[in-house]
Amino acid sequence: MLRTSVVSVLLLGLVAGCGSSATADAPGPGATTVKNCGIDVTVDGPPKRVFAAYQPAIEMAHALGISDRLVGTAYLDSEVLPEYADAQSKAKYYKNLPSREELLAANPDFVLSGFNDVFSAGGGSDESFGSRKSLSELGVRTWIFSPLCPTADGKGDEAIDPASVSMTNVYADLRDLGKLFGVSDRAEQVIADQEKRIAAVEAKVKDAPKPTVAILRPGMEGGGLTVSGGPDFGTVLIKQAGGVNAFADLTSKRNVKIGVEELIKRNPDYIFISGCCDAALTPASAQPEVARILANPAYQNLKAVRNKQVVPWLFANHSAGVRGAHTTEDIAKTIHADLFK
Amino acid sequence: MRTVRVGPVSTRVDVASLVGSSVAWALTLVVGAVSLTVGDYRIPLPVVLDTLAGHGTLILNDIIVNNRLPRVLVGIGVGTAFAVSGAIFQRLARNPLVSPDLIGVNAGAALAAVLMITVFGSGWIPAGALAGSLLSAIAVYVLAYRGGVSGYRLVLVGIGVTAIISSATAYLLTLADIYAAKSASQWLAGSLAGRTWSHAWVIGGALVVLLPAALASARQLRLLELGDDLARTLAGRVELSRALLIAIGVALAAMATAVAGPVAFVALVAPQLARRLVRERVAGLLAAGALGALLVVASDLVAREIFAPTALPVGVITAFLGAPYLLVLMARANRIGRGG
Amino acid sequence: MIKGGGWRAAGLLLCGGVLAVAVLLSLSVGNQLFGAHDVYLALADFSGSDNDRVIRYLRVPRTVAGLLVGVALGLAGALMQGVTRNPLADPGILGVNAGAAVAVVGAIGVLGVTSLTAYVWFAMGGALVATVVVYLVGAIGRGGATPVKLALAGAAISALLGSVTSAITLTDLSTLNEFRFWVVGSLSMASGPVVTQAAPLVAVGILLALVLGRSLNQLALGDELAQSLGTRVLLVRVAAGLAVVVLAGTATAIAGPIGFVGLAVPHVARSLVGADYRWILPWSMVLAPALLLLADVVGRVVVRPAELQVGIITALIGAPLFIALVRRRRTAEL
Repeated sequence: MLRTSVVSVLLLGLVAGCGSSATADAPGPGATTVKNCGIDVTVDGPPKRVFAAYQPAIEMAHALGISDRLVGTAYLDSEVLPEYADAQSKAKYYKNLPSREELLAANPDFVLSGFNDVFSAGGGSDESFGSRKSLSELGVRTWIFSPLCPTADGKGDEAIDPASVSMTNVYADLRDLGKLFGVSDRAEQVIADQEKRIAAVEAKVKDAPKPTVAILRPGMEGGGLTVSGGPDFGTVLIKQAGGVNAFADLTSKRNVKIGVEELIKRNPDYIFISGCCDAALTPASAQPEVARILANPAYQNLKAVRNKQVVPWLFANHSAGVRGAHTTEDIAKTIHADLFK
Repeated sequence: MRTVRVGPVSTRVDVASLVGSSVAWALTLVVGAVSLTVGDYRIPLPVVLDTLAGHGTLILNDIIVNNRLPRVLVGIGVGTAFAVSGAIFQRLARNPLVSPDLIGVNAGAALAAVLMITVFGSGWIPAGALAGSLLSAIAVYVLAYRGGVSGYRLVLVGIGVTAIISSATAYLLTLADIYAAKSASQWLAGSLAGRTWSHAWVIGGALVVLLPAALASARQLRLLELGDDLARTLAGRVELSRALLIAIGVALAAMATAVAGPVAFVALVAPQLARRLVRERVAGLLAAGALGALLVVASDLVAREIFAPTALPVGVITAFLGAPYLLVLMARANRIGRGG
Repeated sequence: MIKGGGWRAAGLLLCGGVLAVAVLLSLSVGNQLFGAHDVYLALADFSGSDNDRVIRYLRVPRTVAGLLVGVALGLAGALMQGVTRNPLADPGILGVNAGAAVAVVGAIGVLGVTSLTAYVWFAMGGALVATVVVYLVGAIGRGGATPVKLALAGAAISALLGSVTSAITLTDLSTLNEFRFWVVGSLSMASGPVVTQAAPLVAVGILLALVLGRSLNQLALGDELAQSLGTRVLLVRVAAGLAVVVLAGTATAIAGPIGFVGLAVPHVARSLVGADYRWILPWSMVLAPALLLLADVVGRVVVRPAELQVGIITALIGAPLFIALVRRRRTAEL
């Protein structure tokens, strides 16, 4: 019995060896190569079948005008921006991230991901697409938003380098993707629009006092709280909107756990409730959490509570991507309402 | 198959064992073959066979040869390893309720794996889990040692050590990002998702080394089953044989946990089923292995198909199948006075 | 060992003093340090300042929760050890907490319950079912509910319930997110309404437990002798079981499953006052909340600005004690 199983393992191993000896085509003459998070991404021509995972990737695909090339979109954190709603309604949508098999069944030639966990290898999840290398061997190119570059294939967002968290990196991604998809002009338009809108906000709030803003996850979390720390993209966006992330000095992680007393001690001017993870989610979905905070007797002295400045908001808003300009305007209109009348 | 002489009736019993475990192995292969054809990407059997023969497209080859096949093989491997490990421990402790899960192996592996997922990156899970399970098993053994190791003290110390380690694991889970926490929880439940050839080679290699060692030591098991006093007069070095068997059992469970996470109840249930199928002891180990493999591979098929598109980890299914059986078993074992 | 009723009562008073210190520390130590005077002002002369609010709305509920949970776990552990004549009995080890936990997860994940006040009833139901099953399975057969049989039954039931829990949490991310914080055991979830609701339940448990002291002493002599002394054994068992379910279920609902307090404290009490349950019960009732509150205070300061949950600290203290107990006894006694 033992011998049989050993022999069969060996046989199957041989089969595997033969099977995987075939490799994807070498780059052709018209190939374009761009580096993304330390990996060379080469396409022979503009990819025609794109799979977009997570909100930022889906919105960026629509922004680049390649909506008609989407063979699948997965895992929205909230409703897409109004300008993309029409295009998104026509795209195939997966509520949960598909498995590698499901992904391959859609036969994509390019996977665009707005978060860095889908390419983790050996994480033991049915929701992993497999490593970028293994997809590349099947002729599927991949892209991770560069403000979220993992330090190694498969590391979570604990490893984000704070220095990479910037709009500059979003623009660099837009340019690179524009090159790969043959839509460089469109990419430049998007960048120009983002820069113009953000500059307009920055000019307006330049001399205004800078209120402090805390971005808070909803939920009880065992009596503790989770806030966005320094490496979160929210820090950049709040700064552009003329404010300060109240927890910017906590730089160990993107999402930081704190005790309730710490929030009271920091006493931020605004609390944004970061609601998440459903394709139909709107800021209003975080309203129950806002009500809970406003009603908590321990919070009554907080400036944000006294002035009713607890704001229902979206996780999608503080993810790096083409929402940058929208969110900057959104925050500025809230924390500098007087300047935007 | 090795034949070990255990008495005048050994030949007849061996035939029965052979038939019993052969049926189990054959069923495992059938279920494994079915597993190759089903999934999110439907592939009919002829195409599967064609692809296995090396004529598939790149993508078919990836799905069948690089994903489904290693997944099935890992399932067979860990099922076998858990079951043989469980059989060894149950006999050593002379208690059908004792399994490697209870003596710290799983807890140590779990802590290490969660540490890898949340801090060091998931590529290190197998190595970390292996180190973790061996360390915690050694800790349990050392703490339970008082001029020898009694089975009960081993189990109770195991429960204590498990409690400390589990609270550390739970704490790490609260520190992690929710996605990392989910991935870690999936691993903690015992899962075959995303297992590749490297996992298959690890568990295959472990079985090649440890299974013959287990079979060779199985004769000692019989002596130990007679009770310490009698065994000492018969064989002398009881403590050494026991330590060796514990080491083999721990290593099997540790390797299986390292590649698939702690798949619940396999180590506990498979040997019990095997006892009903095969009375003879050495072959009993192999029969237990066969049933363990069948249990895991079939549960994974159920997990992938019945609950699709929600992908439940295989450990949840083995628990649902194994737990009711365990309750009946405990009641019966206690009634006839074997439960401790 | 302390002998004589007078000395034991005096000792109990001393323990009360320790508890009072623990309460004061729990009110004053945290993210910010307050003096005794600040605490007094917040309670007696509430001005609505930041400090007053932190003390009154965060630390007071948390401290009261620590008192209730500590009392409940200490008594539950002592009762279990007495009624099963089992030195290793503890709501955590015997699967009672796991029963409460799985019921709470089911309430969050399947029924969509989100208020802690509703958790209490689910926790109680889960604790009841788990207690009955573990005891029935463990008590079947020769020798009744021996420590090893009960511990094995508890571990097996916990493993089973753990699988049910992961089946629920793995299919729903938000349930997992709530659950992972709840399951480590923490006093920081407690709020005013929750402790107000839990207090009467704990009071019922206390009454039941203290009444049972004499009967537990007789039970310790063995069922037959106890019976001949006029103890209604079955009634005592049922009453004690009921008290355990109410106490352990309420504690788990307030703070999540906290292990080893119920195990460790009655042992400490026994080593101080001997085998008399009329003393073990009140001593456990005072020492357990002191231990829990001190552990919680330590947890608040070691990893600032975050907190180390009290369940982690109690496991770090209690589990080594459990192992030491196991090592000390000969196999025959188990």
